[in-house]
Amino acid sequence: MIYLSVYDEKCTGCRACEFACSYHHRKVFNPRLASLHIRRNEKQGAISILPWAKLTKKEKEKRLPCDRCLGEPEPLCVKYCLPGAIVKKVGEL
Amino acid sequence: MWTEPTRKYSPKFLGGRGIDNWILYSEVRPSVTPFEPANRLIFGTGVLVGTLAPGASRHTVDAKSPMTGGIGSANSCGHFSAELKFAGYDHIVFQGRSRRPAYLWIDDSRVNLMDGSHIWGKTTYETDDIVKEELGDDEIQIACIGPAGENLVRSACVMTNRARAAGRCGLGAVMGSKNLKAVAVRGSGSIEVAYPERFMEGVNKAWERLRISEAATIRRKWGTYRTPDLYNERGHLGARYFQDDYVSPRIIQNVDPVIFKRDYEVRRLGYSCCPIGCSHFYRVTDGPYGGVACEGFEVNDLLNFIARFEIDYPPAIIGLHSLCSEYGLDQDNASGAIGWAFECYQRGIITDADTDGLRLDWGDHRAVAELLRKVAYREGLGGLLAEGAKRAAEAIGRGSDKFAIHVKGQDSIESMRGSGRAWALGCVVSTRGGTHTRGANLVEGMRVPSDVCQRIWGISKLDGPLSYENKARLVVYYERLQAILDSLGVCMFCSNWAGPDLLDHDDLAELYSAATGTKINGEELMVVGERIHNIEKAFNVLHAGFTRSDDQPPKRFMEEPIGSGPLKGEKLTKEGWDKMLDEYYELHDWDKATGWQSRTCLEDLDLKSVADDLGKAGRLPQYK
Repeated sequence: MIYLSVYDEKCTGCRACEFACSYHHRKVFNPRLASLHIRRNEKQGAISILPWAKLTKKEKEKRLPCDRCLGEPEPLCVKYCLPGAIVKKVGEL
Repeated sequence: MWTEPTRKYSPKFLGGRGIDNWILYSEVRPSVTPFEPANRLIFGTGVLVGTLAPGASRHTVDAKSPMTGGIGSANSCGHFSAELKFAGYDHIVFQGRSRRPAYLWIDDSRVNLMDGSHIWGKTTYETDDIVKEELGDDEIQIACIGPAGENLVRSACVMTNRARAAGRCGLGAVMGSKNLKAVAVRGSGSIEVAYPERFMEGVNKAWERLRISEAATIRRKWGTYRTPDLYNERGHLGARYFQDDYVSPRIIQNVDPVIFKRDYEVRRLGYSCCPIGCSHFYRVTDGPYGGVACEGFEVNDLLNFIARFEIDYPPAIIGLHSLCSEYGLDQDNASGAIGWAFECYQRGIITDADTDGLRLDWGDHRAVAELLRKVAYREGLGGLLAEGAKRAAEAIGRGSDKFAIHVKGQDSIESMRGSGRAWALGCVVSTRGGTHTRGANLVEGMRVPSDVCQRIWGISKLDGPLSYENKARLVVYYERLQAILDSLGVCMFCSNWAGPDLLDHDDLAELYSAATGTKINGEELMVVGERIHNIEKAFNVLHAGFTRSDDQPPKRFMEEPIGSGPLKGEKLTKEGWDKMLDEYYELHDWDKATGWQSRTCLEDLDLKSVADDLGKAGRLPQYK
């Protein structure tokens, strides 16, 4: 199976993954629909990548579930992550 | 409070800076002064902001400038711009003045002017915290001013994300004059494009170009601060407030970028679909700046603090950067006036009696930090420096105006004697008064094959930085391109400003066409860029009365040659400058004697009403 590995320390917080994710689902750009969420703590310079599995129930209600980019050659959040903070892995979890 | 569609302004002025400045031109009369309620303060996003177009993270803030009396315009990145688009707005136009301190809260279609009394007097960091806390959402995007803006300091800026500044032109002070402390935005809507598949095809090509680009890759790793030694050798560093354009190599060694990366960098940062992420977060753990944690610093700090004051203590550079962000001070302008004060002190023009006993010795970062505070709160000498070097020099006289480095009244950070002629010309003719982001460029020092030179800029070759040949053409190209970038909301580091392999006007035209459904090619887009530039020029002619004499470099750069280093003896020549300026005016179809726009130029750009305005004011060139 395909799964995503995330590396918070590499993330720049650009949110291209969120924009791309919403495009995959609805052909629009809206980070609030994305199946993953980038949280940024500007005071500490900290960033957390929250993929679908790590989102709270409340957050999941507002967002669209991750389908691992069904129909795309590769997950779009991976494709647009130039810093390599979201990486596609294949195999058993 | 009301809303109106932007369709009546677009595509003629695209969006962002283009529409901002057309509104400014149309609504503010030349007799209005910058801090009067009748001035407008306009925030503009950009056509491509809110989409996956690379680097579409920018917003522009515009108003009549307290620095020059002409166009005031500053561009910044952050998540603010996209958030405003998601809330459903392309621009915000503020007019009048609130009776009490206030902040604007935009929550999608719910827009309220909130009481801001409790945040008046707070720093930008405190304001960010308090507003997020009281609105109960730490992901709200905020643009705000600090004490500098409230105190009408002419170098005050508008901050977003605690670290990103719409810096130059004193727009923070205009915001302060309106008693407007902040704009807070939360947007949950979606952005649709006209042709999604075609748009994504353009987006993918653009991302791939940026992924493999050498220029982007280097900036990705190092940010904007990378090669201080090269900046030094190429004459970019004005030492001790431009007394020389060469800094002691010992100082440069002490601020090696590797030191910042190894000892202070926490992580890289980027905003809304930025494929570069040139920003970095730094933390200082001990010493006099222990506890400072901030985003920044940039190559500007090299010019503003390391070269200008000969400060070579890395934590101090990070600390001074953070102080500017906190006070809401544009570091370029603020450190310009402070640099002028240091030189006045060196020459005995001002003394300890003027500085309240503070010694202004080169290299003393504590003195710079203290003066930044005094400027932000207009305390003592800070009150004078809050006016910028030009006005401060006029106020105290004693020959200090001879070395006040400014363009059209705004402090300049750029050295111009050996750093490149296109760089100098672009900085000087810039509509907003100095600054290197409106025509100035560094491509003149690059090695670019002649077919690429021909394709992009229409010239056969680049002759090196010190030649005056073809430089006007480069400047005009980048004036137009920059106007387009700022109107689309795309970062200049994604464009061929940063390297010839990056996005050019054709690439941007394709993204624009696919996003909006309005077909336009690269050449036509450049005409829009020229139109936007001409609106700003006309604003300057009508409001500030600028002529050819205002398109001259600071005298020092023509009179005092570089004193040391590889470019020793280099300076601008009057002959070279005049030739370059003549060519520049010709390319724009502007009058060489006055520097004013011709009626034909304006009418060709579909700006007949502007030509009429200039004619009525007696500011159209009179041809025999």
